[in-house]
Amino acid sequence: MTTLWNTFLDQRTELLKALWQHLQISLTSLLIAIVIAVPLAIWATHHKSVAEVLLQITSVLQTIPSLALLGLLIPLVGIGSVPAVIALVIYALLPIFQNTYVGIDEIDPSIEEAADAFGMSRMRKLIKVEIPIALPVIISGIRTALVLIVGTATLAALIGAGGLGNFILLGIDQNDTSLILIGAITSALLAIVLSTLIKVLQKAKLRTVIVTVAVIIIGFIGVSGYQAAAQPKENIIIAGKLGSEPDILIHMYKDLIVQDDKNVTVTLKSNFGTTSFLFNALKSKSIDIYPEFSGTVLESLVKKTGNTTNLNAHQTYVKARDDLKSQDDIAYLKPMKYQNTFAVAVKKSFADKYNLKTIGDLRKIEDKINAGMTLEFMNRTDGLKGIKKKYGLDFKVNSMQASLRYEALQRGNINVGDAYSTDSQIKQLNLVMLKDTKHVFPPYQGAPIMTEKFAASHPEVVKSLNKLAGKISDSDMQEMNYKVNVKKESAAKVAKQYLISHGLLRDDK
Amino acid sequence: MIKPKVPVIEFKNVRKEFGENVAIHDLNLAIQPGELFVLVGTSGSGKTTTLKMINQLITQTSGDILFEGKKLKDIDTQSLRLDIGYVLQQIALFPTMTVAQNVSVIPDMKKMPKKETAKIVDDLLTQVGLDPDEYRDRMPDELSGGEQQRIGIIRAIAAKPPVVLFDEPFSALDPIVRTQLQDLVLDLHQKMHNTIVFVTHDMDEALKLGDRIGVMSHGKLLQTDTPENIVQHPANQFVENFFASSVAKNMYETPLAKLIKTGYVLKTIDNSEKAKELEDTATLESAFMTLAETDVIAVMHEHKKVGYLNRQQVMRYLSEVQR
Repeated sequence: MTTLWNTFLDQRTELLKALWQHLQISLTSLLIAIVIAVPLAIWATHHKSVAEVLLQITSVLQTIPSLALLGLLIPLVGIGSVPAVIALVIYALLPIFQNTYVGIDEIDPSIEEAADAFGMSRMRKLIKVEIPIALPVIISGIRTALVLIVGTATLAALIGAGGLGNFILLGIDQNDTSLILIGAITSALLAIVLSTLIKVLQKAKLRTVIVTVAVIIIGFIGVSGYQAAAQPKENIIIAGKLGSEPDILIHMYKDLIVQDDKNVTVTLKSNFGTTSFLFNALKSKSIDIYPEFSGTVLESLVKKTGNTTNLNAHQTYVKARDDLKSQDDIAYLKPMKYQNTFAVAVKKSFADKYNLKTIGDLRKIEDKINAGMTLEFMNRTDGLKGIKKKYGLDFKVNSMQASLRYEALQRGNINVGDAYSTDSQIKQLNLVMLKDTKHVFPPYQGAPIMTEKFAASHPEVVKSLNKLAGKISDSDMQEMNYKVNVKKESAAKVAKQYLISHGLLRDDK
Repeated sequence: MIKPKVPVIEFKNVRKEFGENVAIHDLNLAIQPGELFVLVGTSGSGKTTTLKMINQLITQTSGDILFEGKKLKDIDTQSLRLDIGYVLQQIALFPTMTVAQNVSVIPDMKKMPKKETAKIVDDLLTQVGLDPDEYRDRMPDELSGGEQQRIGIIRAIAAKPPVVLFDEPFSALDPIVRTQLQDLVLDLHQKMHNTIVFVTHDMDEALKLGDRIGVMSHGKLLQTDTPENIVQHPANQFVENFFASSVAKNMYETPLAKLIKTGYVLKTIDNSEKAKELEDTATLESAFMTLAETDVIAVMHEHKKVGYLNRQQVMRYLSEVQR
């Protein structure tokens, strides 16, 4: 409980920002859904056969898993708030459409007859009779949609739209229950508060309702407009994958760029998603820069050309840089010093007991192995597939989320796991990395990537970022990851400390 | 020379089909201004269809319907409907509107000044025996069935339409409330001199209300006449049976007013000075008891003598209607 409270205090500015984003996405989606679904449903009450079809369509849309829907939208509209809002609107359509349709369709036919017999026009009948009668049903549809939207909007974080989902994703990644709880509780509270607000408004006078809705909309446009206006012309968006290491790196990028050019602002999108997602975001210009590893470029991003096995670190980087440039017109700046690579890790006690030093040593104890590994590692030819093939190994593997895997290792639920060589947990949990004597794991070096066009038009940014070339050793990185993951220091602070102590950033204090 | 009046509503060779079914065969009917015309018949006789063709909730398949001499085809349906009040069996007050808002629906559409409308609402509420201060702002679901239908009636007449249609308005109400509302309709009709077309399946109701009655069966109008002629000179066996069946079930409770309407009460009588007075709301049962002791009953309507009954007339009524 105390941890939860402390985390809350630490994160409150971030939380407020996320809450605002969440609210923006949710309410925008809800308003759009209302504007689409209500008139459509009213129209459908006069076209029964079409109504059936529309109900079917909205029901089918509802059954698409939200993740799949978000994924499907990326190639069409890219990432960020737009696809998130589209997905949420699609989800909200059914309850609003259905309730509006049913609410009006189920009005006592004798009341409709009375309205007709008194000479009401269709519009007058709609406004004076039908909508007031159906309103409670319509509002309850809107409330259902709202609760659905606020909940589902947490998934928007997966495609870079931010919001409270960021806390949940980050919490899962860092195995920090407090963060997950803060994200989840806030989102649940938001749903309850908004739902209650609608309930209260439903009973209020029409004038109060109109004024409140108008104030909300104007306030929204005002704040968003202010935010838009407050943004100077040149804004560089830097994103990082999920995890502490990319987060530290992009904070360094930001510090370096801003130090050299006071006229630009840098927006950071931490924990922005997975590899292919970020790469697509870069190509679609949703983001400008993100740090990427050379081995990942060769393995996942470019088409395989020529020999890619048994390259050393420098060869890997050069091939990655050249392929990126020729295939995607993307610039890969100079790499940092540290090499991050996959590793197979075991507890020191386990290694000592069976005298394990290399990956090949696992052959002796194949039947005793109970491994837990990340899905990404298991599916890569330079990961588990390569290990099994090159070392002739065959053992049982459970797929696990990265931070859970470390916990499982520590508790002894599993005895073999995958790891990144710069992970702080190696130090923290006293793990041993088994030697890759057959060089299955490519040596990975990290460097910023950006489009050639961006690099060409921003030479000062390239110059700033290249200051990191050849800097940061393996142990530096492990140390910094340890500070963020275990000591819960902020990535921004850790990044600044390193830059200042290595003379890359002037100490303003 | 009296100029012949133009009928308010006139059906000329009107036929209505619903798919394969013929609901109305060949209807010819003229309803005169100021008349309270009752259409009576069993369910499926076509009486409601006929009524709803007047305000075009149902449109005829062929033939012409005239409103004040003009073909309905040539009149804008919405403005036609603003001139025709409508009272439904289901009452159908608008549930989200207060009593006052319900009554103001048509005056508002006619763009009558708010102040005037508010006064009309209060006047009408008073007329139907509901205190305006108490009822004005109530919602329909806070009213009893009888109160609701009172509002239903004044909603229909608030803008003083020349014609008001009643579609079996009291069939869902209990007998006491029904009687009260029938009296209310007669009262309002007398005050407003409007034309009323009233549909019912209850012959008693038809006899009580109608200046003229049209008896319908299977889409055909069998007889159109005064209550007296309908009862005393039925056009055919069906009309006679229809009336007889309504008498049989409640003979003892028959109000004397019905005997007046159907022409069994004498205007003058020889020994009128010995007559004992009975209100027209009294039943045949009390008439039997009175006639056991005296020879003549003077039938009173609102404290005025309207006619006389003796044993002979009562026996005539009983024997003729029970045939």
